[in-house]
Amino acid sequence: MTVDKNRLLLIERVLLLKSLSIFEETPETILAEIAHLLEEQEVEENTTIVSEGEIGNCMYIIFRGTVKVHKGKQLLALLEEKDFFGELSLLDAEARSASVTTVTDCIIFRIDQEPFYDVMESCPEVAKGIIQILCKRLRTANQKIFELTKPSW
Amino acid sequence: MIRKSESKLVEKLFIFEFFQGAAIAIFFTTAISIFLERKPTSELPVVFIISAILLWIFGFIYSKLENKLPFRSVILTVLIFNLSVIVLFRLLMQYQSESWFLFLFISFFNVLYLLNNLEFWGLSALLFDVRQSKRLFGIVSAGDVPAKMLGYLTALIMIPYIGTANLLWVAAILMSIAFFIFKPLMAIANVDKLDKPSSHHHATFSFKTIALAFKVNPLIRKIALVSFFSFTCLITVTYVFYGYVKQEFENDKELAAFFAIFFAIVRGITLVIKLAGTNRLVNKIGLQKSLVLTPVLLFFLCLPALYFSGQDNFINTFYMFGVVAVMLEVLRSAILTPVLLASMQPLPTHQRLRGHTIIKGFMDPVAFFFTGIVLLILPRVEGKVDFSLVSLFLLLMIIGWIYFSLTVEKDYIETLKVAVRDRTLNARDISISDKDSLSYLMNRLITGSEKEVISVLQLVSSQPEYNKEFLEKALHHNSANVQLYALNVVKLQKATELLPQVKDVLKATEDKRVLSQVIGTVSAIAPKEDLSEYINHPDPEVSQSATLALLFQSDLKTDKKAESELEKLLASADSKDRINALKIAGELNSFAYSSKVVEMMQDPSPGVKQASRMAAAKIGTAELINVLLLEFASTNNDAEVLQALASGGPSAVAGIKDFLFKQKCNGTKCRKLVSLLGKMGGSESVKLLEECLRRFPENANTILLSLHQANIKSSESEEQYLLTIRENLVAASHMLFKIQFARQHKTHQIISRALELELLGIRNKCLWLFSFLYDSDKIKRAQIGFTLNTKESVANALELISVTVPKEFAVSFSIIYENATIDDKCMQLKKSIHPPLLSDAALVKNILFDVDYVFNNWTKSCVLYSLAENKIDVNFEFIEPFRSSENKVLKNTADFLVEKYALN
Repeated sequence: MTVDKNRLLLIERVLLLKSLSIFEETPETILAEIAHLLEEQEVEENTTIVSEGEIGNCMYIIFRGTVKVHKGKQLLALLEEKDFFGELSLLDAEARSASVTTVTDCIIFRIDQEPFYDVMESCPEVAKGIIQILCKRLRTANQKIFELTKPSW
Repeated sequence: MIRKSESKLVEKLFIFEFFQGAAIAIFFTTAISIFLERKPTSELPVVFIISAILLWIFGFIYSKLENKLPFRSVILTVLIFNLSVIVLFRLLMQYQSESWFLFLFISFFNVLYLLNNLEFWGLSALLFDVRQSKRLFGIVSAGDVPAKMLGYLTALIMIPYIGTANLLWVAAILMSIAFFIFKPLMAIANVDKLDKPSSHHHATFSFKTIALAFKVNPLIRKIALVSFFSFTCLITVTYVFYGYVKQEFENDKELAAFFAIFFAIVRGITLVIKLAGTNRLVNKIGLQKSLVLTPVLLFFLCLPALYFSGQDNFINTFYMFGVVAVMLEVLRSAILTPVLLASMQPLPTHQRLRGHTIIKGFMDPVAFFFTGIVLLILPRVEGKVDFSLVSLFLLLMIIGWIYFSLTVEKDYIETLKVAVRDRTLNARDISISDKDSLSYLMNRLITGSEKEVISVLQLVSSQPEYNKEFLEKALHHNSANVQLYALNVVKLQKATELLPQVKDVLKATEDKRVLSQVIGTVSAIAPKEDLSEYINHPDPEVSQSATLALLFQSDLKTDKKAESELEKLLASADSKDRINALKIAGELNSFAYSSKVVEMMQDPSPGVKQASRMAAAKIGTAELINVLLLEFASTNNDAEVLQALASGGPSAVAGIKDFLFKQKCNGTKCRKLVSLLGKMGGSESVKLLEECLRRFPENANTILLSLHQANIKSSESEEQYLLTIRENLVAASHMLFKIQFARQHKTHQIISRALELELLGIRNKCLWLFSFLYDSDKIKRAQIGFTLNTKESVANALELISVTVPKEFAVSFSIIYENATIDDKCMQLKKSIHPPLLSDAALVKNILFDVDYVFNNWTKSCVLYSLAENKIDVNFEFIEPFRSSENKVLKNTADFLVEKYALN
């Protein structure tokens, strides 16, 4: 796709961002403002990207490969291409609730909180997109809580 | 008229209505002929009353079914019921000479008609949005007209062979055919999916619900009343006309033949008007005139008819009432009913369905009952009704009809506004110009919570004519926050007549915040008031207010006390004192403190630094503004500098202008300054933004957003705005053709998506420009409708646009942005503009070199990327300029393209 196969063009990074559920409602013209924040990392198999309990201040996007989300030895989820994790750390630095380790060799993209804040400040649309996603998640969570607490008779 | 994407649905609906309509028409011909043959017309009022009762009962049952069952099952139930009724009456024909049978037979026609109407309009209302309904209701409901023509003509042809009674078998066959259309119609309409989200909201038919809908929703109330008066007129005219018909024809065959011909003609004319004109008429003359047209025409036609009836001229009266009856039937079904139903489209689905049920299921029976009772109690001469009294009654009803028709439009527009804003409008919409509202507000101010009192003050403070009494009460309120708010309003409005009350607060208050504020307010409304006793107040905030007040009141040179106090504060070791002193210096707006302010920008305390920035912006000399902008350009303290500049107001505009023009309005910092200008507002900011708009059209989106935020109407720039709108609408039309072209080529998908974004950008630009020129409140509501982006909200938004902006813009804007396929839109546009000649090369050049329109860098990047991906040969010279673009994505893509070709 690109001349240097290891590097994605900025336009391709925009398209990658657009393919993520968290940014699907955000116009590409706005994502273009974030694209240059994506830091490409090649990670070998069995490398821990995120450790449980450490303070997180960045989000990761998987471009190639598979990672596992786990608490100790307990596997919580397998994430693949175009999955992402740590998105809440973009807004709020908190201790990571689980560890993430690569299952295969991976290419991942990292967005750090600080430059992302700068972009949000100059482009309110970015913040708007994130807020919309968080609201949707909150509504879904509320609905689930409501359904779980609803009497079954 | 009918979009390609809608054609199948419209076709099926049309046919579905066609067969049901034909069956009901035959049922009616049979029933009325047999009834009039055996009974005098003077017994018709009894039929009206029985019809009313039956309609209430079946309307009630229908709404219960609508609540309980999915809409699909409701439609099926109605079909089965109507077929059963037709068959049952044919089987009961042996009792046809019995009175009860005759009354029930003719009354049941109204039941079949009601159920068919409720089912059909309920379905249509679910399927179409407000804009579709305006275009399509006239057409889909037209299925009813040829159907009835077919029904009446079938009756006319068949009567000599099978007799009047057996016509019911023909009706039963036609009704059965509707069953075969039911399944495919449901499949296309996807009714189950539409029904689910609002099934629990469907209309209920209790008096409580109706009363509530009448009380809360003025649009439903007005439409229901228009419907009531129009139906009363129709019944009355029909009653008189049947009287003459009964005298002219004797047996059921003659009567059936007459009614078949009469109604076939009526339906024929109706069909022509419906197909040729209902929607065009509404678009051309507007809602109000469309509604008033029928009663006004009726009024003028009734006059000669009434004249002839007074002359005992049977033939002339018969024909005149025939004409009135024809016209009323035609206009009511061709114009009035579709317009009334389309008027309810901006209502939420459940209210709309409730509205339909009220009109058809409640108001029609009320009209039947009312007219039946009136005609029964009118004095009779030799068993016949006095027609002069009937005429008087008719004229009164026409006047009522005209009156309520005139008032519908206002409520329609209000409903539209609410529909796009939200669906949870507070029931208490306060207009504060009337006594009741004012006394309600005063009551809230005295007895309400702190929040309520402040919101009351917010409301009344925008209405200076009524607010003095409110402010007086608020100044003596026991909440400090209320007092603070009131004092601020008094200060801003310079309400000198409230000085005694403000001085009372000054003497009485023990709250330091209130004291500080009241000192500021007194100094603002009474510049000579002596406030020096507060300068040494132990509270720094109070002391600062007093110092500031004194410095404002007097000349600096003469008032040494205040000046030395300020110098002392500026030099204080306590950063809080320095901050307070800088606040005072800023408020004073005096050049004398400039150098001190610049010096204090280097203060180690961040609070003092920010206070000095704020003071610099407030003093606002060119030198100080430049110092701030230099910091803005060279550091990351953007937020702090912008906050300071915002507080400074118009004095910063000149410096911002230099900065923007030097940077060609490019980059994040410029965008922040443009956004700041919008937030600052004011004529200077607006002028600069407008100049930026002219000089840097590529940044139009950001600039227009800021102009929109500035919320200022600029009549000076009206011509420029109009021109920009025209250019943008033309660009949007061409954009649609480009999207259509790009979509046809798999290789251009990325371009197509980018162009769609451009199209949305143009929509937003146009909306902002509309808001500068026309009713910005309505345009803002339309913007919300577009943002919600549901089928209904977009349709309502477009409807709001169409009643707010001139047709010149509204028509093309609606075509471009309504819910329709690109092909449909392009087809529509071809009628008014020449589509651009497009080829791969033309599309690429058009976008890359901004032919006719300045495209986003993102769109250009997509074009370059598409060229690279699809290995299309390009001239390097074309690409070279983009390699030096300041836009990172565009530059990166251009570099990649050149690199790729160099490698190849």
